Amino acid sequence: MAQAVALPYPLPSRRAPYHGGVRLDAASDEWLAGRAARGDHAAFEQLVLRYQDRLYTLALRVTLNDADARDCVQDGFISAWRAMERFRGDARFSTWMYRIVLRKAYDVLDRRKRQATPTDEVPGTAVEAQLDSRLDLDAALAALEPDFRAVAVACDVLGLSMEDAGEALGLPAGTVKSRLYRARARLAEQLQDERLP
Amino acid sequence: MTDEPDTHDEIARLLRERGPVEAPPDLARAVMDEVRRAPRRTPRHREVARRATGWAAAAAALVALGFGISRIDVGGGSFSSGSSAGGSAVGGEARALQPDQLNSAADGVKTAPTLRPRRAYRLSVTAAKRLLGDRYSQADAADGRIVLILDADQYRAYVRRFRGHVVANGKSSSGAGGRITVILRRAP
Repeated sequence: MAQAVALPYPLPSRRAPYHGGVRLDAASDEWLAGRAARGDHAAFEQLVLRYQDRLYTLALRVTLNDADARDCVQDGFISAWRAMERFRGDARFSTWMYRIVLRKAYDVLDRRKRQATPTDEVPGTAVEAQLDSRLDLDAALAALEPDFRAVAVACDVLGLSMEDAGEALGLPAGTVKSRLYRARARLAEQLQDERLP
Repeated sequence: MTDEPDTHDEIARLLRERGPVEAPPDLARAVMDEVRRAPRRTPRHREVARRATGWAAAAAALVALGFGISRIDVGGGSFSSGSSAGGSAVGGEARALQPDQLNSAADGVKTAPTLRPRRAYRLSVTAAKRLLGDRYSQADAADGRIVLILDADQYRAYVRRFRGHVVANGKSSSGAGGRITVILRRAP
């Protein structure tokens, strides 16, 4: 069996660019946002890499469409880049981004409602796989109203606190709490219905 | 009953297990391509201020230039103590050397009237002790600030070390035992 040989120095990660002697992937959001506000593309790219998955999840769960979710995240980041100088750090960068992307996602839903086109396929709702609890959960989540869905995704999927979710969604923490309670109750009902023989 | 706490916890657990979805692999690249193309909108008042600053700087440079030209001694005309052409030459040399330079030349001590770049950091005493090591001076710290004059290599090393601290802890970092200002200056 081949023995592992300890390297004299750690191998550099592919995603660990150095910037003026500073490891960008170890830098705080605040520092990166400050650099990005002064036009630093590398710092902004690090923020994109850091938050793209979470923002994409939020947008996907609200819009229920891959292409729309992608557009929301892309437009959200570009809006953020343009408005970076106005980001004063009162809120956290992540919360600010959630709010921007969520607004884009709600715009998509409004546009759909106006055009009255049927929603595209819900990701992961293949009929033959209904017994799979993961897919059941996706379908149940998709059946919730967007406001409840956003709260469930923010708190339970992304793991934000009630306060952070409230800040991101523009809601008081009390409203987040009650919506989360009702969202979970409805999800439980739907999952129970799905599993009944 | 579906609204029992246990059921809710179970739903929360299921959702948590779903976790974030992975974004499309080319999303970051597409975003950055757009970002590099996107012009950044600067507020109008900032644009105006920037232009005004440019004009003010140009005007100040012109005034300074005019003042400098007016002070040039052509042929020693303004020196009454000098005698003929030789007097003007001596006068010119005396004016070129300022008193502090004369003193420093006499003492053999370089007064360094223009210390070049400087950086100031406001941080906790604990952090300052850690970052400065042996260079931390209790006596200077009592005044609330420590000034280090460093050669180019040391200056770079200390700036990197302090910048790393700021990056890791943010501007709002605070520590026990009060705060202190550390000024790093590079000797010319």
